[in-house]
Amino acid sequence: MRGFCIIMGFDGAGFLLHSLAGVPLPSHVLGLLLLTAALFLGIVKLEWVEASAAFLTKHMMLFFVPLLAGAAGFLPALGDSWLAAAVSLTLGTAVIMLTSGLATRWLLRKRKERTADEG
Amino acid sequence: MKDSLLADPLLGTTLTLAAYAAGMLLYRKFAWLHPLISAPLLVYLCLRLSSISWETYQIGGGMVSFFLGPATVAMAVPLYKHAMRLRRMLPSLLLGALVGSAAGLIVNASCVLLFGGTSEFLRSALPKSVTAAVAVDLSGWLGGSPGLTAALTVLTGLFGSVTGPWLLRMCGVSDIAASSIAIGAAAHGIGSARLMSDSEEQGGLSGFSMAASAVFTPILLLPVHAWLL
Repeated sequence: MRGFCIIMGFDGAGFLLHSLAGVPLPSHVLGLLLLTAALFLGIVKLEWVEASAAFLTKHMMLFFVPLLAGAAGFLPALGDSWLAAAVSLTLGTAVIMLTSGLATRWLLRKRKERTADEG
Repeated sequence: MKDSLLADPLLGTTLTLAAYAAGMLLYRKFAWLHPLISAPLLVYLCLRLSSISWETYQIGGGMVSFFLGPATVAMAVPLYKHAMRLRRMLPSLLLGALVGSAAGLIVNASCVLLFGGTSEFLRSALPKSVTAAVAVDLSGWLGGSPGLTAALTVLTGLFGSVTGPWLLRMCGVSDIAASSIAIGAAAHGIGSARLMSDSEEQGGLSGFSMAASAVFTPILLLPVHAWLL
């Protein structure tokens, strides 16, 4: 229960930062950033939140069901944008994957060369 | 009697849970039918057949989707755990995920601009390569439609998880770390879940990349947000 309270607390802090302090990022994302920082700084111990976080992320798919059920009604309203939707879903996703994959491969190789030079 | 039962959150929560459980069972039988496709369709069909209104369903449905918020925050934990484990490769992996996030935004935007789409569609499609909870949050923030974004995000993830491993191998990215990072950055949680079923190491790497993209994408979107609104 402690873990759940901590996570809700960080979610709440994100909400406050977003709506009261006007930080221009979505409130749950702010909560994510704050909790990540707190973990790295050692303010929050991993054991405190590990079990609750595992529960929430494991069942994340369930939480999407109501939103997606609503989206089934949206799809006909796609109208003029259907071609853009189809292209970005298929070709777009492929391009993003390749860009990221090739860049990471190049970066990892460079790193290996550098460590080899030093050693 | 009937009205009071309908007005209770019990209806929406039960229907959602039942559809999800049924979706998981179906997935065990038919591996191609992802629960994120079948479960929402089941809810949609139930509502259609029973003439229960969308608003009535949302009394309970809204309670279920509320937990998306805490679940987004909870992603800090896997991010932290993987970062600790991957410390040595961390700079290269983080940069790779950053490149993936930037490519995601540029490619998603150019697809809409090149192939014609409404402004609302652009706002909904921009964040579709990031994990769905964050994508939905970003979509509302950019003035898009969160429901549409959820659908686009899930379809992106499904496409990426099915074609990704094969496509990357074909194009010479045989390095496990690089391809896992790429799949996490482009196909978020659905891609990671697929890799997780192959090996824990790949799943972890790709989960790390998904979480890193969930942090990078909003930051990269800041100037876009300022320009759109």
